[in-house]
Amino acid sequence: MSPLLALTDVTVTFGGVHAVDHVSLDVEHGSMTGLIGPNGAGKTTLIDAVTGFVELASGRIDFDGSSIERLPAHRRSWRGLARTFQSLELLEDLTVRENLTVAAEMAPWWSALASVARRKAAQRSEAVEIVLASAGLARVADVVVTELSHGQRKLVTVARALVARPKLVILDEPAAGLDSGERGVLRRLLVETVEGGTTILLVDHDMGLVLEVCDTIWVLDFGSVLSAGPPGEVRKDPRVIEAYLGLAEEAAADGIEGDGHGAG
Amino acid sequence: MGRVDAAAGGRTGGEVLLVTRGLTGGYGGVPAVFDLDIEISAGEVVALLGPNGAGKTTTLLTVAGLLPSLAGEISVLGEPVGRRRSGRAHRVARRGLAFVPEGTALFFDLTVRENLRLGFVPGRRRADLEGVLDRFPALQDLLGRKAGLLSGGEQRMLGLARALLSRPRLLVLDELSLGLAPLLVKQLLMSLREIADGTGTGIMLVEQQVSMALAAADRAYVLSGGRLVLEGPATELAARHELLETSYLGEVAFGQDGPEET
Amino acid sequence: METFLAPLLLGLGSGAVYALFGSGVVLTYRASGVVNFAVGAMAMCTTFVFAELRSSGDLHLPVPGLPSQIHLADEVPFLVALIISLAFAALLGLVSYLLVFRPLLHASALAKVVGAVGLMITLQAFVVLRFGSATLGVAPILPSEPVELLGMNIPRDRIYLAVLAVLLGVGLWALYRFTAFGLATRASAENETGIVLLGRSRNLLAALNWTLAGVLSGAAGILLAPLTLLDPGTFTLLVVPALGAALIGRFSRFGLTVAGGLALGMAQAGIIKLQASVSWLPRVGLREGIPFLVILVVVALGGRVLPSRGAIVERRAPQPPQPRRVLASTGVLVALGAAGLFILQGSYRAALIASLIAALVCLSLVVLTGFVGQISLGQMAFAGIAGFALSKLGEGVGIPFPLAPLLAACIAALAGLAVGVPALRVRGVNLAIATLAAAVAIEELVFKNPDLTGGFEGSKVPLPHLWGLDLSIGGESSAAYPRVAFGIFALVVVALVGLGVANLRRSTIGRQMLAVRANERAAAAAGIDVAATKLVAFGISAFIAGMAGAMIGYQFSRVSFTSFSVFASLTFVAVAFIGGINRVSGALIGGLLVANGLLFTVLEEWAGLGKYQLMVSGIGLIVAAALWPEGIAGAIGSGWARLRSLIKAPGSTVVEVGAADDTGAQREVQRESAASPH
Repeated sequence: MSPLLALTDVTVTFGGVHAVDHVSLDVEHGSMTGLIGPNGAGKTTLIDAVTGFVELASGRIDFDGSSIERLPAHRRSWRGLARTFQSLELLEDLTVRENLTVAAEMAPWWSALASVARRKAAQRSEAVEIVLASAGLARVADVVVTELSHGQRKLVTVARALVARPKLVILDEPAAGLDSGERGVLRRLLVETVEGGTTILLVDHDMGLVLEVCDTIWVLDFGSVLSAGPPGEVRKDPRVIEAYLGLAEEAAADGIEGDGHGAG
Repeated sequence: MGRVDAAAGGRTGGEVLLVTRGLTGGYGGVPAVFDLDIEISAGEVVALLGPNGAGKTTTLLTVAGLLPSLAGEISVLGEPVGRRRSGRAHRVARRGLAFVPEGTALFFDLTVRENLRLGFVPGRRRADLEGVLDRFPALQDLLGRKAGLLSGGEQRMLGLARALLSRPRLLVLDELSLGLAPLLVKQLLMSLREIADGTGTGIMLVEQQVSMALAAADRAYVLSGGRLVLEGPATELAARHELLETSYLGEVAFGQDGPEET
Repeated sequence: METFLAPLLLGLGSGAVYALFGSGVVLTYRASGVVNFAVGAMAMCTTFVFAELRSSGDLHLPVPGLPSQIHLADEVPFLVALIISLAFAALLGLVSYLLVFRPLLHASALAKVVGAVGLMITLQAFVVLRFGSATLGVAPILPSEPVELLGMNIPRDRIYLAVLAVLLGVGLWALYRFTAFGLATRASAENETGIVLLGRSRNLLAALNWTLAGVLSGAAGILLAPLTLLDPGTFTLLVVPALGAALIGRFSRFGLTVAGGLALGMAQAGIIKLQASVSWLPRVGLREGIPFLVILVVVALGGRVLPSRGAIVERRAPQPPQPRRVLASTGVLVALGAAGLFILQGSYRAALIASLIAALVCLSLVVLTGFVGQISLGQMAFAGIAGFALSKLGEGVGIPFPLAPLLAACIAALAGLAVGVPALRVRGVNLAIATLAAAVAIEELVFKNPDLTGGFEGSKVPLPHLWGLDLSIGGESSAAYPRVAFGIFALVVVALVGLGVANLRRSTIGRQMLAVRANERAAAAAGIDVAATKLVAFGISAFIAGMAGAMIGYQFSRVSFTSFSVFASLTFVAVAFIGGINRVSGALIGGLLVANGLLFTVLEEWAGLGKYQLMVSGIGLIVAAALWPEGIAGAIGSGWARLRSLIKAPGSTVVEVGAADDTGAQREVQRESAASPH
């Protein structure tokens, strides 16, 4: 079977600089795939390219059997491609439930417009309630998102990406800024999501999390693929250690500690 | 409050840069941190730890003069920080406190070079730009780029570099490691240690990466539910992490199963 | 070719003035995020002070409590008069900041627009009260003997002015590019917390910039006065080309603004020449209209459909609340309105009808600005299009009553889409000014063309009849003007549109609109077609404005361009904001507040405001913009909520949510520091 997401020779330029430089990369169906790399390596730009927020200079993106690189962002989302942003990009002034409901409806504008006549009041959707519960947000469902703590807001973005039951969800640093308890909730949510059949592409600097939950890890440096493989191999790759992890032993230890066990 | 080996707390001899006595702070008159006694001396790196929502950021904002204190006293570099609403933050900055908030407070529409130029705070001696950039070689090639187009990690570096240009006497950092690669976090914490040792700058940092923070710090305070629950030398806290865990886990907002699940 | 060069060079004079005003606008925008609609009015005040000093030797002081004028000398030398006037201008800039814009520092972009419109109206009212609305002549300052250039005789002062504008542009560019002050100003406009953390006072920076802007606009006014006639109307209107120049400079670049101003002046002069030599071109409107059409297109081409990473998000007004008990409140309000129509007589009934129609315009703004956050400063252009279309469809083609106004509103909706398409690529203040440019173009090219609209006379609108019922305002006999039947007609239209807008807020598209308003990138990621959602809003909003335009036609039994001017649009935005632009009830309150509406009619009849009406409404706008970010409706709403919570649970005021802290405080500060963008 062909991979769910396949990038072929993708290049993105900003003012003459190749932010992403001829990257080819696959995400298999049902996998939890990691994408790591130093700051400025082009990870977020790559996500932007896949989800339609920047234009490709060249290359091809296939998702679920068809090429999507010419579709606008919202149409890629209709095809089952969801994402979160490092900068949260929440719908501020809306409640947690409203944030999720908007994403769950996934309605093209014509059918959304027709709903004015149908006069159905905002009914509680089951999908929204399920995701609220599994992300531990049920208690704050009716709170305006700006009133939440950083960690809760982060979980809202993840929940919002999951609520429309996408085929692939791309998470941009979901663990950043979470405390140990919140990281636990996130990890469980990720594992449950993959078990439920959704594929995940995970970008994060929390090596404890990435090494533990991912089946395959891609490493990006200077806009190109530096290394790829199962976690065990990637963490031992000397190029990855030099560019990203630092000393091998130390990195692994630190990562797992940072991930929950506090002062190790 | 728990106190681990009180006798060993703090380095001796350095000038005291920050003192809070019975500080209560919060937003909109609603207190979020209560009765804090914190001290930082010259050349000291002090970590402020605790789960999200414990009041770490509120503490930093109050100390930097961005939030009015509700009760108690704050003295930064020998002068009290006003209780009246904001407006005072620029005076605190001129006195020598540099605060890098979680959002870094960069100017996205300005270039990296222009952001750095603004780091020269009026009335303070200027640090050598080249010297500061030596610590952040990645920024060298980006001087002409708009700060808004930098990656998240590059922005954190720029925020820190800009803060160093005013030769601060007290450096206050909120979530420095947010979104940074592990290697870079280690390097940055090492530079902070060097800065503290070399220039006598006092450093207060809020950090989620507990072990890394403790490795670089001299002392740590642990906040939970808006109160100080633990305080002591970093080495002691690092060695006895069960203490840290109890103070953390009691207040974690979500599932208690989190950390044990590994 | 030569014949065209001369007028182009002549246009340098007015172009230079646009450039100066435009630079002043960019300056205050950079310093405090305010689009200074009052730039022309501020210049006018200074120019009048200067002119009075030169002609009578009197210094006029607009300060209550001090003598209104002091006789300085019988003959005030030019330089002394200039210095005094510029000092006055500096003070005017500073005071405008301290009294009007400093309280609005943390307000939404829209509140700042309203404050600036309020200042514009106040200053204009002040000048009319103090100096009268007569025209003043000012002796030339720069020598105007012709100079021979490229074989043509050009008055010297045009050349001087152009050179002055260019020098000023370069000077300002250098000031903001290279000096510490300029850099700090640019930074402070973007991130207030950031600049404070770096040891600068935001307040001091803004005050200095406003002082500088005051001097700049004052000087521009004094230089301009000899070229044109000095009367309150002309000067206030100068804000439009000045905003055009600023828009070309994207409200941030002085060089482009100056170039844009000069080009605008030259283009206008060139178009006049063209009109004279090409017989089939319309006689009016081209000069004012064409350049704005060009600006609109140029600006739109440069933008992106989705904001890029690191784009700065402007402050927004609070989000529209979920409407509750819609049917019940509609019933009560319709009953109240009907009772009012029957009880009130004569001018009061006319005022209530005017308020109902104005509420329709406000409702159109609730959809576009309240729900989707797109500021439109050209709403009356859509109303006008429908009004004139109604006249053509009804009188010309003979389409019967209920169909003709609906078709007319559909035509307005199409115009809304036409403006909406280029508007997709601009945001915030640039969008606001782009809609203003579109409205100017429509007004000048269409409304003022007598062949299309009948000019000042206007064109006739057929009387509305339905199933034998006479719904017209005057009826066949002019016995009981205005007739209750027309009032009920207007009431029914407002009720239906109001219900529709309330339903829109509760529907899926309504949620999508709110999502687009909150965050375009997030909305797109959640599968919302941002462009289509905005266009739907533009269409619906223009349709509602079009209904209002048709009702205005029926109200006066004819339509003329005076009802649909750009300044009418600006006033409506202000009124809609004060009422409460994010909800239906706010639009209804807004309707009561318009100049010929119920509130001012009552004030006029009871308190006899008379000549102070303009002044009172201007000051009212300024105060309300600062006091009520959600308008009067919002203030009533939250006051009511507080009252109820007090009754229910005395003592408990705060409801705690989520974690103990790091919420409100952190958010407030982080929003200012614009969080990390990615």
